[in-house]
Amino acid sequence: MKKFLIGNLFFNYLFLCLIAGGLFFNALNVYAQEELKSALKDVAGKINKLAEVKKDADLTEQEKEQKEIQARAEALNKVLSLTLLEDEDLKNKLNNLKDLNAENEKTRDALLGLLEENKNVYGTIRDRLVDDITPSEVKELAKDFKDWHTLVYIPKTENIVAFTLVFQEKTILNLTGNRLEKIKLDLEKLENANLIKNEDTQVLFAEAVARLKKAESLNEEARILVMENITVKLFPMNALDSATSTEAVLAATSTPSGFFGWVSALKAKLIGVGADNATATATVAVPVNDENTAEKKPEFKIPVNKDAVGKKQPPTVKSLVQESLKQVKETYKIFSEISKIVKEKVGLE
Amino acid sequence: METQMEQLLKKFNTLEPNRGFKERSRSFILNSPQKGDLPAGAFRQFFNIAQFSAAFGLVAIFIFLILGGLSFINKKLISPSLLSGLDSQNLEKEVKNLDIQIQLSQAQYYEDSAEAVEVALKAASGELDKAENRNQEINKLLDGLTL
Repeated sequence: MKKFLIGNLFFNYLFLCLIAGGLFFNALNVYAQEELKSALKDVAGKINKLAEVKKDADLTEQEKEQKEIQARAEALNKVLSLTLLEDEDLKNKLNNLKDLNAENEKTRDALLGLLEENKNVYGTIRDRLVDDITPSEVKELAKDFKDWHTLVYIPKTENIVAFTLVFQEKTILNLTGNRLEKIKLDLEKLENANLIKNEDTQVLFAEAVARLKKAESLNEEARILVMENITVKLFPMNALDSATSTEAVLAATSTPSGFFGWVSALKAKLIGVGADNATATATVAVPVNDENTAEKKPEFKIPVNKDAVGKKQPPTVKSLVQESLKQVKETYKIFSEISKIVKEKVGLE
Repeated sequence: METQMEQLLKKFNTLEPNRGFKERSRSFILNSPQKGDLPAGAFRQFFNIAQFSAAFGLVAIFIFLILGGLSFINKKLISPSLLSGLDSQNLEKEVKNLDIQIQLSQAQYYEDSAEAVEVALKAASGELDKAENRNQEINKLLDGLTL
């Protein structure tokens, strides 16, 4: 009895620590999000200013040109600042991922390497964004920045965001699984004390187990898809081992001068990059480990949301994770229902 | 005339216990416990009986608790702290802390940002100006056709 109480207290303490730690990182996450949104608003503000300058009929041609250059340069600066903040945010997200196996850690390190490569571009942009920049130079710089952003930056961020989404969700699934185990133990305790009967909560518990398994299966599907995308689009030389990205290979081998020179070459070579990213479909069958095959337990079939998962369009990582998180939410609703039933039966307030 | 009986009785008058018997009897009588007054003794007896009854009663109560009161105590023992898995407050806190909405909104942010930055860079590079001019020319052509 003493050991049981001590064990239970320790478990509760550990759970509280996890929740407290989660709340702390939750707060940091929220702050980072607000900072990014604020930076994005600043970019929109600069573009609006540029539009106002163009429409301003009171300015002379020379004044308009000067103000336009200034507005364009400020807009570029804001976009650069935003991109730097996003890089930092993505780095933090990658570094905060927990419980990765060796393979996933290698992928994480490779993705961090891709973010490091962005620094080359940022340096080039700063060098070109001088005080006496001409109108054509600022437009040329904006165009190069846009091409790089579309062809290189967006594919990187999309896949990094997808990767973090999948593995952040894995942490959630682990927490949910732990909660399920605790509930199972509590129900066994109550049944042994003859305070409740097995049939009071059996059906609901089986539903919770089925939903959690479905959530895990969708997460696994998303993981396979994101790994395929990362390998095909970011490391086509199959070089996760040497972390040689498309960008680095082309930068080393292409002939056009300057960093943005090879972006044009990249544009020609990378067909379909930044266009339709939802082309890779997960066709690998995901094995669902059914531990209860030996026992007869009530079955529960999860209604599949065909709109979210592979009707006509192949599923994206985001849609798979969204559907998986929906199953997790439903699982927690079932936990609450079980809790209510137990309280009624036992007469607890 | 004295009868034979009277002569015998006179003889018994001179009979005495021997000295050792006298000593033994005296010490036995003097060392035997003295009984007190009647009221104190009665109280002590009553107390003894009460003690025995109380002990018997306590045992009966404990037997009752062991056999009949377990389920009642069980209910009180199954408190929220021991059923932490099913505690509704813990469940609510956990769901809030799962960051489900925050993670999805973060993913949505990067989608929105990509679009917004593309438009911003197009505007900064003058591409939107060209697009606007193109649209204006197309509209002029269409107006020319319809009029």
